[in-house]
Amino acid sequence: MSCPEAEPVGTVDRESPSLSDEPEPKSLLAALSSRQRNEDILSVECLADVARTIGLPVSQVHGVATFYSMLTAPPNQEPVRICDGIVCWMHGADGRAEQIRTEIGDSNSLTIERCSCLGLCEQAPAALVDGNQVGNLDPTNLVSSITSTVDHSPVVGRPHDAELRIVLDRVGRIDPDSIDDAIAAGAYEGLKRVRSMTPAEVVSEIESAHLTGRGGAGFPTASKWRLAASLTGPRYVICNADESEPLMFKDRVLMESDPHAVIEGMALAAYAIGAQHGVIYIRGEYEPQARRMERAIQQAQEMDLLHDEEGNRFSITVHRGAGAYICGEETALLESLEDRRGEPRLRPPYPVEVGYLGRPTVVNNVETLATAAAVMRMGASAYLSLGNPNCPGTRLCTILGHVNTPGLVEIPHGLTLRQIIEHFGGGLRPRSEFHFALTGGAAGTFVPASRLETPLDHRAAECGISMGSGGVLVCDQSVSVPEALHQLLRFFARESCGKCTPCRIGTSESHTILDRLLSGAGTSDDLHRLHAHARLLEQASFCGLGTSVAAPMTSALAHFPEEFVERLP
Amino acid sequence: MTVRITIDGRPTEVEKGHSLWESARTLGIEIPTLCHHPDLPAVGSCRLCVVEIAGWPAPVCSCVTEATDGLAIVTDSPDLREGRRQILEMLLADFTGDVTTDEFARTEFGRWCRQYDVLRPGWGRSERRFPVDSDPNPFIRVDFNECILCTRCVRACDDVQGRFVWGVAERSRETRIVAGADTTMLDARCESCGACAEYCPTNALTDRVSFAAPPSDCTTPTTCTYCGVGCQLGLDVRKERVVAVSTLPDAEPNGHSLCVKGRYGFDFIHHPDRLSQPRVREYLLKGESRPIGGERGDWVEVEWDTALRLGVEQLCRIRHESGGDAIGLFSSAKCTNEENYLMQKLARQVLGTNNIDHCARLCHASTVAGLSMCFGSGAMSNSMDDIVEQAEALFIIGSNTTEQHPVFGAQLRQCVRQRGVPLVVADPRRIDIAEFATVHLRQRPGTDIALINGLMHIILENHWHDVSFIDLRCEDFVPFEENLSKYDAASVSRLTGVSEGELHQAAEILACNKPMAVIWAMGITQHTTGVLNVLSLGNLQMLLGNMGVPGGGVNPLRGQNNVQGACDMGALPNVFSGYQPVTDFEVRKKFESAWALDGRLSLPEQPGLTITEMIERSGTGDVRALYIVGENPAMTDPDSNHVQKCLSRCEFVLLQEIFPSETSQFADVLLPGTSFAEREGTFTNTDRRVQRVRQAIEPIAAARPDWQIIAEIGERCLQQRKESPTGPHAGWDDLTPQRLMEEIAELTPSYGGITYARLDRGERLQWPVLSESHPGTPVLHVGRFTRGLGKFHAVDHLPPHELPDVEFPLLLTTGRVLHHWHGGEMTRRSPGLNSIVPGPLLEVSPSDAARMRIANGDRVRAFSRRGEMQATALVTDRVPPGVVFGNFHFPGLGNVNNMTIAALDPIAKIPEYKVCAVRIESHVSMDDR
Repeated sequence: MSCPEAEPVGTVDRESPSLSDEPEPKSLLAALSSRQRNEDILSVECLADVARTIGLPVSQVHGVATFYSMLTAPPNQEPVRICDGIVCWMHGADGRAEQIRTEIGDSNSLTIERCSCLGLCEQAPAALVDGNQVGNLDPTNLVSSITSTVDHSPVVGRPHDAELRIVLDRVGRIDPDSIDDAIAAGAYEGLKRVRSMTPAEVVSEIESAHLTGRGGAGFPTASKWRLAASLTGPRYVICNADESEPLMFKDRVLMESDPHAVIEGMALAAYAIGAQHGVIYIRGEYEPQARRMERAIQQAQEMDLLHDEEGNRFSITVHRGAGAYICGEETALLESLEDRRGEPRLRPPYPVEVGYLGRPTVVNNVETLATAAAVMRMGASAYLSLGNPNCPGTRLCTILGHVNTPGLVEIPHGLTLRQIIEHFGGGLRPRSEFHFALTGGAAGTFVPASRLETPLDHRAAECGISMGSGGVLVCDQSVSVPEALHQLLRFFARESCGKCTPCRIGTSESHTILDRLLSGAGTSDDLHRLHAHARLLEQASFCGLGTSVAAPMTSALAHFPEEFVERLP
Repeated sequence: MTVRITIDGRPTEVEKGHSLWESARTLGIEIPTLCHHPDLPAVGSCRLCVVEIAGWPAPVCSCVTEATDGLAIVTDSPDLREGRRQILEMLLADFTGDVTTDEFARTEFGRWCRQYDVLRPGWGRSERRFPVDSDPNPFIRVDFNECILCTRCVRACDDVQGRFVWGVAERSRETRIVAGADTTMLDARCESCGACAEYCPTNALTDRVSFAAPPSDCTTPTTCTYCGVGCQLGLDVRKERVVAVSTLPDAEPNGHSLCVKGRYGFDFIHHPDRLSQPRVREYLLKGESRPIGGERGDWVEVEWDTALRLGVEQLCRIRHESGGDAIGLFSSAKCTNEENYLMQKLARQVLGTNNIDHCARLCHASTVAGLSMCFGSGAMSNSMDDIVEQAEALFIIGSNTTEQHPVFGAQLRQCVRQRGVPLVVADPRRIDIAEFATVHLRQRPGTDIALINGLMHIILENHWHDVSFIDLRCEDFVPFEENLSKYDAASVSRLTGVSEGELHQAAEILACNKPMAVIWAMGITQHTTGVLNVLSLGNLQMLLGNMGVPGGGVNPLRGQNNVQGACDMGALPNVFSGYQPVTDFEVRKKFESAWALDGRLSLPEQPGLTITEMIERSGTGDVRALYIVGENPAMTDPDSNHVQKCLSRCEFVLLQEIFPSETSQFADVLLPGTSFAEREGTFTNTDRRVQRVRQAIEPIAAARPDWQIIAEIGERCLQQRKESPTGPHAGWDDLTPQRLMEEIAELTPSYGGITYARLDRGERLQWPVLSESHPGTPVLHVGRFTRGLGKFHAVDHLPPHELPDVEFPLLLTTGRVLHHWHGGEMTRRSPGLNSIVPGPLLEVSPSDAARMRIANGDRVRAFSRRGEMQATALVTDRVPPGVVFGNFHFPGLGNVNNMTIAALDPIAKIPEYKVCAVRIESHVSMDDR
């Protein structure tokens, strides 16, 4: 019954549905994506037509169409989008991109584009070709590697000795397209248990498991649920699957390997707060995963798993993004869902009170929901008995870079960086010396060797180490800090929504400063300004994207000042 | 509810819900901001308005942080200044306009840069990103090199104007502002209201007229001369020329808002066509008799004394020969209250006739008559702001609100958008506001009574009517109710073409959301059933108990700037000022003693002739002389060919105008009057608000304010007849607008408490204002109708006078476009307005166009039984099949009134401009081939 190997990325349903039969979707993003597939270019007439059909102002439709990177494709050609993330950069993506451009681009009339991190870090360098995820772009056989999407490396292999798999329990053990497999392996047991409890009891149990949001902010999940449950009228559960943080691909793995864990988490959240409808907002680059989720939802619905005994229905729709990191910010996500540009909203009011369509809305990360399902299956006390007694439970962590066994692991809380590298990353590669680690993603922190022994628990932030949504990039002597920061700033400058002044200009200007510094033309005033921009970004940005850009900047400048000064002519 | 906070050490109490920014402003502390504006929703994006709050870890944006009890905020500190300097520096780094000019220094952005001593940094963009002056809009100059992405323009267009022209495109540092899908503003459906330029804190969007212009010498606050909304505006004057229009942010009813005509359409004031000198026909000057035939001979420019002498001689001669009723007076809704009052006084006291009327006859005569029959008062019962703020449902029937009353139209859009008020639009055409409608009923033209009766039938059927209101405050309900029984949904649907489903949906919206406001204009009134249409709407509002409450009422929107005032002042054949009937002995006695000449006066007892009747009788010789002030009947009255025939037969025509008009060829004496910029007085707007008109410049050339001319004529008439004024208000010398208002107040109960002193203090005075201490009446009929009980009328559908047939198969309906005004005398002289709509258009439905092989933009000829016009075809589904729509702003062969019919409503004598039968053919002249 169980499937011994996880299905590799990229083999998920490559068939496109027949586009001609597709009804015009009601959501603007879906309509624009569909028009782009059919008409190649979003002309003024096409935008006007979409505006008329959906009943939105043309200016709004145009604003949305030009906001998302996947909607701004050049005409006639779905481009090869080669990842421009920091991990792919470390794995030679720039060179591969140039090779592809010169060797096969022209002859195959391929358009080569660079794009923000695709969330395929364990297979770097990676690309999207016609919507398909391609890993390990191979310099020796470029054509076949971009036309075949078969993955070569196992994403999540056998557990490491020290690994504690709760959330990843079924990953790799089941056929993800088989609900029977999933059920046999324990899926929906938590939901079944929940239905014998009152919603308030569910919230209490989540609370006693100390479940916190896994998207990076770490807000207590039960508090959100309790507040939403106390409000009246329709309310929504939204699964934030817009995983776009460089270094992070855990949500992708969960969705492609155990989609029912996510659905179960949403269903029990819906039960706890009294929601009838849920939305999975999944980044547009995760099309195979989006289809897998849709299949899983259909299976769960066919088996009536989403109704409770009282006949309360819960339905889930899958909403695809179209290439915008900012939409992982929950209010920007809601704006995007409501057919507007993915610009963050003012807070308060918070989404839990005034969210999707102005209604109370719980937005939870994929991992948070899957963890909730695991907690409710085993019970809070069993969950709490696992892992570190001071900081029980587990979390997912990606470990990447110059280590022997990069990948995704589920680890207890409170380990040190050194323990993670040694026990889960298989130690540094031969001939590699630890130079620094980037923890928590692009919006994380540069960590010097002196902090390798700091436990990564809830107090780590006080020591200047962010774990964000759980990613570690280990770099050896071959990577300089200014170069790495340059990569990160390019990402932020490109992904800034442009709404507030500090982020719109500060990210781009900081990137320009590093450009200059790395080309040998920097000045001490540049360094001074880099500090000033970092401070302004942190103090004055509108949303978390802007404020968090300061974290890598200030940690890099604080721990490795000499590397910047060295670059001055 | 208030909260206590401390700002810069000063404890203060502010309204709950106020932002810190607003709170500081109440203490006179101005926190710098660029994205925020009190009229617009706060977005907190520029990050300039940061303040520190004691105990909070980081500064916050004051524009988006609510004041809560106990907060202690600091609005200025070295850290804050440094942060603000950095923000300004960043914005300057991306600003590729010229920062060294005076224009820059005058902008909000320039001011803050100077105040914080920030110069353009050595880093940032060096290349311009955009072409300078990149949009062809005739009024608004666009230069996005100066854009700082505050998005005020986007919000101004969305949240004030409701037009959604501007949008934000792209992201990151590539973010930019675009119109529509990156098209021109006009292609993105811009109405050129100028709100975006108004709020722009840089010169990215500016008014072309004021860009790079030297500052004005002074600004005169006054009232707009276009529609009845009565927007307040400032006339910016430099060297005796009006160089720009500015807004008066705190003034009702419009604040920062204006429409394209009000803001930009002032070119006519200094237009070279302005009449600069009085003119008389040569024959008059020579003392000869008028040439035989229609022609009146050559014009000769003369001094005022000559022109007035000759004019007065003719009036006095004709009066002497045939009596006062051989003279007709056309007063003007463009003129002030004081001038209209003087006109009717001239007619009654001096010339001894009630033959005085004005263009209300052509627009809302049926409203005045109908509402008087229902309620005893013929004006808009509510105020624009109470509708916008308090209505729970809106019913717009026969009003193209966003084009005819643009600022109120924009407010109604926001009422729907921001308060979610359901809107029912009933209009055969898919007018712009229909986009905001919950239901749009497209009834066949001329079936309004059936439609309204059908809605009321459904309301009664569902027991949605207000039984206690009907019992307590109304009469004659039973016959009305019985009469409704035949208007079942199925029959009404057949008659009107509106589906039963839509009828039910509309009825439910109108009945189940209280209060509901009914709004109408010419679509209701300009029918042979105009009065009956109005009675039906009165019935509807009584049935639903929506009278006498804020947010409800009957709301006819008056067209001209002072058409309400012209009616109020008695420029009507049947009433003195304040609707005091000429047939009432006591009323006459009051005026007779006030205006007594040589100790006595006998005012005419019988109502005089209406405009339409005076025209007709001038053709037959019953009316031998016409004194016309500021009207253009040769163009604007229906069936122009017939009107012109009548005018050409009229023995003597004295015309007072600012331009030579289509009517001036029929005049014998032509006196140059002044525009609104050149005189003092008051206008009364659509919601009965009396507002000041102030003189900004001296009259152009030899032109004189109309009140002076009328007074001079009155004075000369008395002198010629050697009569002496003896009554307290009988004299014609030594008048001023202010003294005239004192006379009006004394003799007119509803204006009893109106004085210039109160108006100049900024008091909002809506009549009735019974005494100096009376606050005015924003809502009429509270607790009691003017006539006592509201009167239901049983009203039946009657077909229009002329319907399409085989020979003339299409139904013509007429109206205005946003960019022009009435006969177009003012707006056609604005190059900008004219460039947007340069000529007459006929809207033709796609199916009719296809059948007649007419393409969009073709020249077409249209014919009715009475005449023909030529126009450009606009093929659009704004009109339903079988209906064509023509605007009436262009003269000669472009005049739609060549075709309209002078069929009149029997009570109000209003012509049926809205329905006649025409045929159309494609017209390509031989030259074009």
